[in-house]
Amino acid sequence: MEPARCSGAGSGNSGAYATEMTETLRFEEEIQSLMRDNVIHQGFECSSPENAGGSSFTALLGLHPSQALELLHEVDPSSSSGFRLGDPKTARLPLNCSPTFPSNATLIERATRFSVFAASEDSPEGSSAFPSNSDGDHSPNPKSDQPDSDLKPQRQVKRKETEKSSKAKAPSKKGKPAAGDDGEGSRANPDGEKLPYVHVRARRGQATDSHSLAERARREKINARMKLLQELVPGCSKISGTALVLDEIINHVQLLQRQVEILSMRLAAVNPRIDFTGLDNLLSAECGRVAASGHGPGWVDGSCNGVMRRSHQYDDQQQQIWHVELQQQEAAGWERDETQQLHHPHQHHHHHHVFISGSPPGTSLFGYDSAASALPLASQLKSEM
Amino acid sequence: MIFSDSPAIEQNGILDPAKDRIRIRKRGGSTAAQLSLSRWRTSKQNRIYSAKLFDALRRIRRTDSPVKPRSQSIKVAADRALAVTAGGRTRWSNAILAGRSIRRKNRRIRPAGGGERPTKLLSVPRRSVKIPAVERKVKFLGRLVPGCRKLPLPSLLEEATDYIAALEMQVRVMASLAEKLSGFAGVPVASRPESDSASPIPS
Repeated sequence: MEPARCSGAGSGNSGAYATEMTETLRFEEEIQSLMRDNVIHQGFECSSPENAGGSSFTALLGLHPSQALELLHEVDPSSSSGFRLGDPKTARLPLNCSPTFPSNATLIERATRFSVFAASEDSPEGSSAFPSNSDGDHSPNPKSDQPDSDLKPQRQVKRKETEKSSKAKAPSKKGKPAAGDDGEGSRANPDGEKLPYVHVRARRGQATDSHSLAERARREKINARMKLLQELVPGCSKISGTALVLDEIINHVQLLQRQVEILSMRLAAVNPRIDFTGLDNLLSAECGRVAASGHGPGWVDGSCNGVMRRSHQYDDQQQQIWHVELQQQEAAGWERDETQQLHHPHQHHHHHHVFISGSPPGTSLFGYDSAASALPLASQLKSEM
Repeated sequence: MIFSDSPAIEQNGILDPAKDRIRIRKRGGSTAAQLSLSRWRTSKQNRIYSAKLFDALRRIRRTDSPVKPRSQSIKVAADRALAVTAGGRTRWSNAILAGRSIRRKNRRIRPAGGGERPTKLLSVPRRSVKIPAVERKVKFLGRLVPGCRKLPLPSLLEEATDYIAALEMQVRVMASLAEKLSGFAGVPVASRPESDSASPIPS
């Protein structure tokens, strides 16, 4: 156990214990103040107040080495180095402890390095690095396993408590606002365990209360999705500012919807040739509408070709349809349901035909009729437009 | 004809689903939004959608056409085919599929209440409180994307991402379909360098 190790380290008397106790108590207070104010990492918060509550000395002592290990990953798993961690100022070091204590400078450097991590994606990497390190540190000293195993159930229990208590997205590690102890301020996650919460990392100098945390998490979500949208919408990556980007997005959506409308009109014009046959053209209103869409604004480019083709189609189809009317024949290639529907507009077309041209449909007048009805249709088109 | 030609759709070379997947892997985790981006660009989706669209187009009935122009029924059929291809996971697709009857009900109800509204608006001074611009745009975007009117911003952005990707695919498929069916040189629909096949395939 730790006392044994301390004694093994060479300062094995109660007197030494007492002095080390004061050291550890001071270190403990420091850590507690740090914890309570700023850092809400589970392992530390749970264990430190808990141990400050007056748990056993062994637990106290046991806390530090593992804490130090997980913190620094350079520290030998010996308790004395843990003591030294808490007390960088005192020059008094136990003699036989290995002088692998990292200096303040390295502590600060590591802390800053850790605090620069981006949010959630890197934390798994960071946290995965730590277990390997800590494993490397743990392996030479099997005795450290005891305090660790001692601590872990505690930590897990405390983790649940802290999870319940913290309102913000729970395990968030925050950098301290620039306080004196830079070393312990911003810590990386020692455990590699994945928790089902969103890991939010606060950077230095940012407020750490739960409201701003939640807000920051929400903002990050929104910004991530906005970035995706910016990549999707062309020409949006240069624009900065939510409002302008939203403008671009809205314009893009409207553009796409308009394109769909235009394409559907195009398909509507193309299709009569293929499967819709000319049945819709029986009704002049329908003819007018379909042809009018061809005259629409979006069609200016290809309109000449399109309109001419369409008018030819109309003539052909009208002639065919009138053939069918008179001779009761099925046109080649038309489907069954269409011919059934052919009977419905029969009467309409008769009336309409009479109305328009004023002459009964006759085989001899076919060509004339088609031309004649084409003209009033065209005039109807113009009136509709 | 369509199915043999559909590989030509993806050979446009601008859209690279492989690139999207690389991007997702680099980021270390695939959020739903990134998945949706690559999802709408795969050739498989293209083929599925073009098949569904073709079926829907063939089945358009002419009894509808006196009521509304056929172009609108084509658009409706295309949207519904798109929503079916999307699967039941996104809000806008469910809204499109479910919304046909609901919207008609709304349209009948609203004119009854429409008479009251102008008086109310006049009594209250308009824009006394300037609604923040971002908020206005968010609401407008919510109205554009079907079924997303009262959605909070992050989920609205996610829906918009998927919707834009799906719309792009719809435009691509319909453009190539119109191209192949009509047979004359394609009118460039998009201002972007989206290329329809230059040489028309005579059908």
